This record gives sequence, structure tokens and C-alpha cells, in this order.
Amino acid sequence: MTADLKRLSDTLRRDTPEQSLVRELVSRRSELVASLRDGRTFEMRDMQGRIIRIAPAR
Amino acid sequence: MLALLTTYFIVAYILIPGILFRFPASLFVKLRLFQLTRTQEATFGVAVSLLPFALAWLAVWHAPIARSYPFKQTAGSVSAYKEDYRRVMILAFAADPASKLEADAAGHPSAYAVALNNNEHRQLRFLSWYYLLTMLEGGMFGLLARRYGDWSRYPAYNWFARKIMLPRISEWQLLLTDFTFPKRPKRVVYADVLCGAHLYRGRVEDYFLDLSGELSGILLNKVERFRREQYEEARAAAPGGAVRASGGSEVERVNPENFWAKIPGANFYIPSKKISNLNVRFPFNDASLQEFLDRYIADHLDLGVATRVIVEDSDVDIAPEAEAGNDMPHGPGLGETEED
Repeated sequence: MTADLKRLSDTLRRDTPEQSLVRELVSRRSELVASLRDGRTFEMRDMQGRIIRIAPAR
Repeated sequence: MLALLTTYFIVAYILIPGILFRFPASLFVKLRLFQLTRTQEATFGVAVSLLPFALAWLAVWHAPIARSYPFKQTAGSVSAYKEDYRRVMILAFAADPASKLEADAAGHPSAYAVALNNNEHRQLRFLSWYYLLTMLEGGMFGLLARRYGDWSRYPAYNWFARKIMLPRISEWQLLLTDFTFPKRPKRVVYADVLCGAHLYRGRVEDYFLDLSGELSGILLNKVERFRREQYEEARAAAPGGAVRASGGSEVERVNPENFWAKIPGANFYIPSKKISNLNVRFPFNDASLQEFLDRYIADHLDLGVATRVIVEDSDVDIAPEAEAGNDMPHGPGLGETEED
């Protein structure tokens, strides 16, 4: 296994799942805006299969 | 007798402290050192015992409580201490030590017996404090290691972690727990596990190491199995194929997310010998993800409307097997797990 655990630790922190999520959210911003404008809920899934729903606040 | 004394000092002063250090430390982190050679065990024992040894030595000479307790005895001068040890050494190498321990005609114990008794009390008192301080050191080590995710940004701590702590922590602690990340927001560990032709994904609940410190198995929860054959069939049959449209402007025709089949049961154990590949992720837990997205949308996306985010577990809405292969009613999922 890896001898330099500091390097391993840095590698694990390099690209976290929420950064991928944010990138996806930004790339689909227009889709998100359109859904919200129509009063619909925008849905997406993360890498764990969790469903993320973004709805207009009531 | 010399061999016996040497063994006593090695065991009492080096090996036992090494074991005592590991016990409280392992309550917080899994240490890298498991089955060691005698030399490694001795080196480890010396390394972890230097500080508690020095503190215990100072304590039994200068701290009021440690000077007397436990194994109380009358305090003596340094020369009396030396004389006691000298007598014990004479006793150890005497041809007939029993004769030197006999009481005199009046029933008074011999000077050698008194010295032996004094040294026994001194040794026991010193070792009591030495072992206690070693265990405290182990606990402190574990506690400091647990804060790695939060404190590694501080240069002094980072240096300590790199030189002292991380080399002694199991690499599996870093790979299969949230050890590397700050404790808030709370994260969970998910893994895609490829076992032969089967790909599973799930939340890592626990992991097990063998005596050499290697992974022996992993326990997953909320496990799903990727139905690759059905996915390939659906890809072949789909008019648009499975190629993701660039920019996400078009809906993917066959979404791999629809082909994850939930496996019933709370715990799913995979022995390490079955694992050919492990892909580990450290996402926020549901509450933290919800909070993070709420804040991110409000601060960065400028949508013009107020929103609320809901994060739901996949087993609430995951498509049942019979419906797998249908187009997603909404846009493509975020992550497509590579199943080859």
C-alpha cells in the first residue's frame, strides 16, 4: 500500500463529490431556471444515487 | 539471572508500554502496526515510551502524589536508593541468594531483604505511573489523529501529522472513513466495489483488517448491484444510444442510474479476496448536502427565485427492475458509474 499517507490524504481531498455536483448544477443552470420558472421541481441524482430536488420555495 | 533481569526490563519498559499505547489509541484510529517483528515491536516501544518514561521519572521524584502512591514506602535519600539497588544486584549475582535473605537471630529482616522490598515498591510505583502516562499518551495520539481533517491546515500540526502520526495509522483508515475530512459538515463514505463481473455500490459501514493490517473485508449498507446485461441490452435497443449529449442539453436516452437494483438487507459483507477494484467517495450526508446546496444556490447561482432543496435516499424512488431501461422522467443523473 501507499507509504506516503500524507500524499494519499491530499489525493483523497482533491476533488470532492460536491465539487462535481456544483459543476453539474452550473452546467444545467438554464434547465434549472426553466423548471423553477414553470413552478416545477428540478431533479437530479448524485453519484450515490440520491435524488436531489430543487423546488420553488413556498 | 542477568538474562532474567534483561528480559524483565525489555518486557516491562519497552514491550508493555508499546501494547498499552496501542490500546487507547486504537479506540480512535486504526493503527498501521499490527503483527510486528520483535525488532519493530521494540523500536515502536522505545519511540512511544520516551516521553512517558521521562515524565514518570520526574513525577516519582518531584510530584507529591507520585512520590508516595501507589505502593507507598518511606522516602529515602539518593544514596540510600543507590545502596538498595547495589544490594539487589549483589543478590542477583550471588551464588546463594537465599542465605542473604534470611532474617537474623532476632527476627529482623536482612539488609538485602529490605533493599529488595524497597526496590520492588519503587519499581511498581514507577511502572504504575509510567504505564498510566503511556496510556494517556496513546489516548492523546488517538484524539489528535481524529482531528486531522480539521487541524491539518495548521503548519505545526501538519508537520506533526506527517512525521509522527500518519506513518502509524492504517491506510485503510484514510481510505474507508472520513478521517481526511473536517468533521463538519458530516460526510459518509460510499464505495463502488467491483467483484468479478458484478459491480456493487453502497455506503461503507465498517471494514476489517487481518493480523498483517491488510483489508480482510468490507461491510456495506444500502447496497445496489448494477445490472450490466440489461443496461447493455437497453443501450443496444435505444435509438439514441447511450452517448451523453454534450452540455447536458439533451436527455440521455439510457441512463445507467436506472439499472442499479437495490439489494435487500441492512448489511452486505464483501471479503477482500473477492474485490478486484474499489472506488471510494466521500460525499456529504443527506442533511449536510441539503444545507450545502441551499447555501450554494443562494450565494452563487442567482436564480431570481427562492428555492428549497430536498435530498432523498435512492431507495425511495429508484426505478424498479421491471421499469429499468425506460428514459428518466427528468434529466440525466449526475454520475455514471463506470462498470467496466
